[in-house]
Amino acid sequence: MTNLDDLKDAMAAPPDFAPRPIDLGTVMVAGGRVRRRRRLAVSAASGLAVAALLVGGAQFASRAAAPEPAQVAGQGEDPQPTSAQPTSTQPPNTKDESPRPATTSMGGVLGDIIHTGVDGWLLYTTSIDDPALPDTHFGVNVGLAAPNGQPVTVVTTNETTGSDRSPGFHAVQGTMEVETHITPTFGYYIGSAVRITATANGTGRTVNAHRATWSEDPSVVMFWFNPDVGSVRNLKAYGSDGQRLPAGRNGIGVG
Amino acid sequence: MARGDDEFVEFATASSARLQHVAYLLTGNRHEAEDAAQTALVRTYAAWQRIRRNDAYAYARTVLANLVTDQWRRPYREYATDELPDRPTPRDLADDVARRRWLIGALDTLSPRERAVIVLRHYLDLPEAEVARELSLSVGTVKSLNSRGLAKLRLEPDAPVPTPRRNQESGARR
Repeated sequence: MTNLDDLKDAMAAPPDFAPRPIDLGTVMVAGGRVRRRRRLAVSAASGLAVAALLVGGAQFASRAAAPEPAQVAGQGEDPQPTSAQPTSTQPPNTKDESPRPATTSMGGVLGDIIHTGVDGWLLYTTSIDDPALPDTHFGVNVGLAAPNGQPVTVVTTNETTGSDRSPGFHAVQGTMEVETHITPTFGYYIGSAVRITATANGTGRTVNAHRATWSEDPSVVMFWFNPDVGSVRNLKAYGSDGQRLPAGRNGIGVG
Repeated sequence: MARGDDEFVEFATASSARLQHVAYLLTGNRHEAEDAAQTALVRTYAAWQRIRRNDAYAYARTVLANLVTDQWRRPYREYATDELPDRPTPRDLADDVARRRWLIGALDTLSPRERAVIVLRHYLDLPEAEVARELSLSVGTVKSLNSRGLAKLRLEPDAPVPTPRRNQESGARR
């Protein structure tokens, strides 16, 4: 037996405690709450779509911009902070400019819906009111516009540890395949980030995120990566002077 | 109860002990392991409708690994040092208690990233590419962490020992 086999045997041996029986009732109640939050976002977003049609006569789906590829810097290198402004990290049509029923919450959706310009993905925030998360008041969502123009939420994410407004990254969700759709890696940043980068796991290249400021609070910078970049790591944010900004919780969750 | 719920209950009942085991190896703390396993199951249930036809256990395991390793996804620094870490506590594999103590003591000598790679690679027997995907690391980084972790455990005498380092990872150890 080799030493490595010893290690494997030791890890495979039962721990010196009996696994706690999981309270599946609690699990399903908590999981159901997450599901309902997503449904609420869907219905609220749908309501906003209808309201926009009534008020402005615009259609969500028709406003999607042509996809813009993420900016790619030197392979395998960290971004070189400069004083220059980032180039076109923000798609030309990132915000829904149609007349909207003000920036009020409509059953949970808060502020503008952002057309990412990438594979039809929409990005928007929804309100969160959960006693278990007293310092979390909103989450970010990606969804798709249905043929009738109504957005349908696919993934919702929110801060689960501490304040949702502390400086740095929050609630970053990794790319996933959901019913044949590849969702973008997305999340939000609190602070004046003019450039957000990550390292693509597949190529090792540094890629720039698309960004858009939340209409309700300019300190909230929502961002997303093109899904064709694949999974990413090593999120970084830069200010207008090229200096690194606080990372905050820059882990990338899945699921 | 809906049919999907029945399936989830069956899945969770069958997998919760193994998830807790993985979480325990990752954290070294029984209570944190139990909490992490339960949270992973919550998120798995929330996504059940779209994952139930696929590999639900792999999904739950990925969520679990992300939950635990989120703690070390923060800026960290490693400084070179002239000393290798001390060998873990003396091994007495003839005794189960001693072996478990040795195991946790040995894993505690690793940085969180090394620990995660070692557990996923050698307990779950995941290929390097799968470990890289689950931890959002490059394959090269996984290889490096695996090699360094095994070297620290003195389990692979022939493995090249990287530049000795002393881990100082902010907010990393649980």
